[in-house]
Amino acid sequence: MTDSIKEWFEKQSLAFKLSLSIFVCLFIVFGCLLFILVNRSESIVARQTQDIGGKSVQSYVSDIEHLAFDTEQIILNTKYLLNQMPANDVSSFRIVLNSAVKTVYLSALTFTDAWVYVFSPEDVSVGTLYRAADVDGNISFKEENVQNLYQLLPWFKSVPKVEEIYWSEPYVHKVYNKTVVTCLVPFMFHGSTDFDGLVALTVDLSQMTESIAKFSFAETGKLLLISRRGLYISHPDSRIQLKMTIFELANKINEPKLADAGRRALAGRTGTTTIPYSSVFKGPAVFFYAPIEPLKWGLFLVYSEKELIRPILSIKYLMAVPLLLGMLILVFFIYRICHNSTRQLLKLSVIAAKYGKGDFSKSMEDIQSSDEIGVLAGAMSDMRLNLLNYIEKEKNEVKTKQKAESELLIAQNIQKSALSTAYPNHDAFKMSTQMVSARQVGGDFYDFFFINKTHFAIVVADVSGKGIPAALYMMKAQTLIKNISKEKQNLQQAFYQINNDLYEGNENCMFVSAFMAVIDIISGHVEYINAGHTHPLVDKGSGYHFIRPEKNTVLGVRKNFNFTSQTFTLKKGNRIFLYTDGVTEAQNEKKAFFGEERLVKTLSKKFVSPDKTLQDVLHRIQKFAGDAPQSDDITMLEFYFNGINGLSLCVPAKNESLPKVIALLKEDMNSKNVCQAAQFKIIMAAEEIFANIADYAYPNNPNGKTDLLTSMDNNTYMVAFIDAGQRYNPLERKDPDVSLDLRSRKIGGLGIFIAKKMADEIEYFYDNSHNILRIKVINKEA
Amino acid sequence: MENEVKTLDIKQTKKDGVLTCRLKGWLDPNTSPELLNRIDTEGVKKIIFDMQEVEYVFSSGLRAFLQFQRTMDEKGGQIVLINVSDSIRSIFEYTGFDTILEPKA
Repeated sequence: MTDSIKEWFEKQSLAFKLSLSIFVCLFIVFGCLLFILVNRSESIVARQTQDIGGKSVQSYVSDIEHLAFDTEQIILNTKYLLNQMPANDVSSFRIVLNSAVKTVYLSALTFTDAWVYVFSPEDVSVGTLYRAADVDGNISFKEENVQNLYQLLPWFKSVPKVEEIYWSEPYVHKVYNKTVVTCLVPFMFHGSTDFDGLVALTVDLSQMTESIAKFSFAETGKLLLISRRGLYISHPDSRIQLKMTIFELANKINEPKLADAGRRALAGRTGTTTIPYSSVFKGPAVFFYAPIEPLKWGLFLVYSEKELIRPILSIKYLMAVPLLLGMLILVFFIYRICHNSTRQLLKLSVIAAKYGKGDFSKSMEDIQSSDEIGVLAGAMSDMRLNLLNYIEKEKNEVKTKQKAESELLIAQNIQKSALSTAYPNHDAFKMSTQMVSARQVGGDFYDFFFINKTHFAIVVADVSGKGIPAALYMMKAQTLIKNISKEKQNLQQAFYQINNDLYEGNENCMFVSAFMAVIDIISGHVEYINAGHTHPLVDKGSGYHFIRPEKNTVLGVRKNFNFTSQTFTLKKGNRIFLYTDGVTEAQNEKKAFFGEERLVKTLSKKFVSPDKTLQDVLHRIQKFAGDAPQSDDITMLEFYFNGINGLSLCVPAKNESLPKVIALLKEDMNSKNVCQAAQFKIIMAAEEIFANIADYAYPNNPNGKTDLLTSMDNNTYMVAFIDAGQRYNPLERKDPDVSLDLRSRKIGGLGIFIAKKMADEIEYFYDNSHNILRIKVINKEA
Repeated sequence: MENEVKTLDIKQTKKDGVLTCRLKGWLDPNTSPELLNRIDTEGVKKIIFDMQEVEYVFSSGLRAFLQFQRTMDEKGGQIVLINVSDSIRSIFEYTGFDTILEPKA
């Protein structure tokens, strides 16, 4: 049950929950306050009422007691006077009664009558009555014989046996029709030994009962007076007054507590009791009771507690109504505020959810509020703007980054595409290059190419700057170096032109440091220019040493600069090592440079091949650098000079050249002790290849030439044919079908077929716009 | 320079319709047309090429011999190469020209 209520409550809106909670709390608090207030005030009122009631009752009690006391005093005085008198002195009775009546007049008593009754000697019920009565303010005096006293006085039951005051029950006086009470005492004449008669005074109670009847307490409170028997002397109900005792009433209405209260009061006790049913109020009532001692009567103050606290109850309602109304208004406002706020919050949450999904189209303008919700909306609005800004910024950054990345990629591609990796397959030299690009491409490049058939150029250069501009400038520099150096007579002229061309339109003030060497592969003569580049190393047989060339200047900065070239000569087995500053300035994690010393030491290993040399250096650099990032491109080039140990000739590509070619080949082979069988094979193959070149290489150029290079290595004789004619690989030509009968076969393709048969090895290359065909024959007898 | 080096020498003797040519030197693109030009096959039934002193026969030489073969075929004659060195014989064998060679001794 509680669970289902809980569940239900959880489902309600925030506004409802808050309103309900506040309402319940306020209800409890105000309810308690009201309860306490009413209870406290009830008890205070009850106490005060009792107090006041008690005092009122006491004042009435003392009034009645005074009355009784006065009456008794008069009676006792009168009896005393009669004690002093002789019997049967009638005249003196009048005097005595007169005196008593006068005393009554002087007191607060309302006098009705006074009498002296003298017994006859035989029977107390028979005697003479001497009565003084008030007739319109004058005292009348009467003497009558009484035959039966009890008849005359129906309330009188018996003559007292002791000389003490006897109070009659209240009764209605027949003559005056008033509630009266009679107080009497037996007396003796002077000298008597037994009672001679009774002296009595009847007091009018009507004033007192009227006063009691008129009494009202706390609007509805009433006084009730009961006699010693419990007879109601005064009661609002005329059917009860003087007709019923309290005990009879208690019996009648079956209310023993009422009888109890009556008994207690008559027993002389004071107190309060609550009666569930009172005939006065026809409901519960509080009885305050007190005795009237001399008369042994009881006085009751009866009031209805309900009636008493009615004003308080009305106050309770008076208070409860506005409280409830206030609470409802409060709850209404709370509900409204909550509802509005939560509605705004809902809106906010919907928008926030959209933001969460990346939809920033909706702004916070709908929410117009200057309270906390407004602050939150403002913050979210700011957040939206910040996010939008951030996203915009991030987008731009990503774009920039992508641009940078793609630029980097482009630059790397430019750099890579520009670099040749196909090394010329030439017996005069071996070489290798190595290039490891830094992340930010540094603009290094190397190049190698034949300037002509006998002159080979090697270049290593470094372009200032990074990225695409550097890459483009690098391409420009590379192209210029390659093209111009082929056109010009010498390196100095070439560099003069290259420098000026790079200077033109160089608005970015970029420049290129370069080292270029042109090697005559026949003679080993080297001409080089160092344009502000790192100093290369040369191994002339005693290990690598730096050469310290003329510095000149970097390319692209000074117009019309005259570069100084220098020369040295290579012998077989000599090497050149070129590099960029990415090598010597490679840094480790401690920012130390790799340096020239480590480079020289690494290069001092026994030579195996250019590939191996460069790999060793690279490994050494990488080991040195450790985890430090590579900051610049690492570029290296090693050139190993093998030298020409055979023929090197250039003849017109014509059949007329054949006798000379064959003669020179023979001469060369003889000088190298090539056996006759091998010589025959070489001559056969060489003739066929040369004739092929003569016939087909230069269809439109009668001045076409062919280069021949020979060498002897590992007991193998080699001849290379180099022409710059149209590209053609004769080895791809289909072999003739030699099984066919001579008479029916086609003529053609025989020459190359014979060459293939003769050579132990035959290769074709196309390099740098040259057809290169190379044959090798092992030097051994058939 | 090519003029200075004489690369083919031909000595012809004709007897009973048999032409015997003693060749000396090389048969290359320069000399082979000369061979074709200088040999008159008029009235010749058989041509015998003495290869004793021939150093090299290149493909152009082979083609010259093929030419002679075809000429002689037309008139029902024949050609034969004698005294072919081993190395030159190998060329003929490789290329399927060995049918015009005299049987090896």
